[in-house]
Amino acid sequence: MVAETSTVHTIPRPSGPPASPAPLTRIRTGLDRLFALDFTRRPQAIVLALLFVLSRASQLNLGYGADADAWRVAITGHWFWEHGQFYPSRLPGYPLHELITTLIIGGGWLATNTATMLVALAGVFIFAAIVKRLAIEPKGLLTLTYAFTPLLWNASTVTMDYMWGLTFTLGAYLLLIRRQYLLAGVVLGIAAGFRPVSIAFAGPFLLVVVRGRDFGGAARLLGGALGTAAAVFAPIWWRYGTRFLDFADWRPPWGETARALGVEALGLMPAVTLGILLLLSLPRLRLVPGWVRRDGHFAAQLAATLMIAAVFVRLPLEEGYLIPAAPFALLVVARLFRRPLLVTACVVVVLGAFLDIHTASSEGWRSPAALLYLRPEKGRVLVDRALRQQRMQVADETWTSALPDNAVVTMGYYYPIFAEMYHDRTELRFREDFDPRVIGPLTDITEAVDQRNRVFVWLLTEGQVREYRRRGYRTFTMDYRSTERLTLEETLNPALERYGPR
Amino acid sequence: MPAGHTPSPFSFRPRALLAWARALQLAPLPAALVGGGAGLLVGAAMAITMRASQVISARYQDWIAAAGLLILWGLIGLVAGLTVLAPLNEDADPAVCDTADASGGRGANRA
Repeated sequence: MVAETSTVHTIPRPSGPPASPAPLTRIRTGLDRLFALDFTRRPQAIVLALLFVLSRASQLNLGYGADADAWRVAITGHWFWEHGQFYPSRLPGYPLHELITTLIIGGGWLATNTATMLVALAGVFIFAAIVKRLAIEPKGLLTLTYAFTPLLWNASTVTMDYMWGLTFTLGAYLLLIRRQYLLAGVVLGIAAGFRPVSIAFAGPFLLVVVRGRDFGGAARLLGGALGTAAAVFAPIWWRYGTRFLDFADWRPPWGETARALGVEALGLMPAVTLGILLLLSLPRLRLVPGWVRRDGHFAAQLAATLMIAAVFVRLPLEEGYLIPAAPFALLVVARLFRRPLLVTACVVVVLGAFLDIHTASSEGWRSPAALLYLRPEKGRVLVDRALRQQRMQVADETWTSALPDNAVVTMGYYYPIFAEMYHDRTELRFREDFDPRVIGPLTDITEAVDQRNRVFVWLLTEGQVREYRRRGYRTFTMDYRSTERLTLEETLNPALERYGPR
Repeated sequence: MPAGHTPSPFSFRPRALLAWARALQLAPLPAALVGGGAGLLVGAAMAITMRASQVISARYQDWIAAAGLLILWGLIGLVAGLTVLAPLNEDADPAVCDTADASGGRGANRA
């Protein structure tokens, strides 16, 4: 029997487009690509720079900042050009920031805020170079988070020294990674000229150098930092002696500290989320000693974060004091959190710019039922916008108020804002002799006087009130509630009444 | 210097002192104790200074601020002690990647 052969004809498949991956896979792949982006490369850097500038644009023209200290810096600048004298905006002094602000103060807050923004942008690229150099992943996500963390976002749009100090600190760290120790020290000294606390980073940075037993390098780093800082602070040292090391030293109640830490630094929702993620990462804490021993840079980042936390515990006045820790904390968290937790943390932190939560309970957070009344509210960037508008509105309302002639009004926190906003229409003058113990001479012991002899001051003592009264002035203080707006109250008994705004 | 010879720190000769410092390597526990102890001293000194200058006055402020400073400085000392006195040099400077395109993330967060 002859086997019958047969030919098998296969039916060709229609040639069509390959099956596309599921939408979820595509999203995941896209996100992975985004998170791995290298922002030190030019195309990515240009896109990030555009996003950075666009995101800040609407905040640049809203005064010098929500913090009265920003307005004090501007007053220092104007005073220099008008009187030829330099006074620090407040002790311990921020000489390089005050110098740069003085140089560009003619351009008003738009110029000074824009300068801060550009320096902060430089800081973002330095941070991108650091994560790339240290091969920390996901570098794109970390860089984006650093660029859009609300606390840093707000600080990059005001005439304050935080971002100047931070950018130079990061510059010093990058030079340290490149083993250029002397230059790293000099740049760290410059950072201290912007914000004195920056000099403390010499400690964590030295860990990296001493770990490698490079004592010569350690001496160069320390010498460069201390020498530069001493040179930068020489003018203040010359005028104040060692008194310039004095600063506002008092402790707010712990409730206010908790608010600064939990609400104003990050927003309540991101702070709570980060707390939960930290709890979930507790088992990985046992790995930390090994990482510290193996990796000098991780040790330095951890020590830097802890050190700034200690500085905050020592003086928990403003959430801005935590800013120098932000990039280092981010690098520590990148190691500590597993990838899904890290992504969640970064997304929630950035989301905190626009969205937060609060309780609508009439008893506030004291009641356990507060959780039942959780409501959404504006995030930190939107809150900052509103605050800055409100600060300037109070100054405007004070100017247009029905305050009689020959009156003195104690404005408290709003005084630097008012004195700077109306510096063309008031005369700023010292009301007592210069005293090196005064923290901010141009605002604490001056008065802004208009043509109707209306006098605006920060605060008065009982004796000073009596003196104004003796000279025929009526004394007022102010109150501001968002519902009723500005109210001025005449104060009649110097011994009984307070002389600061509510 | 013969191999394996650890120079004495008490010779007061700069070169010998440097050589001793370079060779210094403790076990993790003593390193952590030395560092942590030094950190606690710094924290205690800070708390005492704050008390002396009346920056902290109310009792609850004393305890919370002092405890916070002690814990944080103790941790800083711990980190410094482990880093400087008990480094693990199984690979040199592991965090620094000198290549232009550093990918892979050694020791970094991975999925």
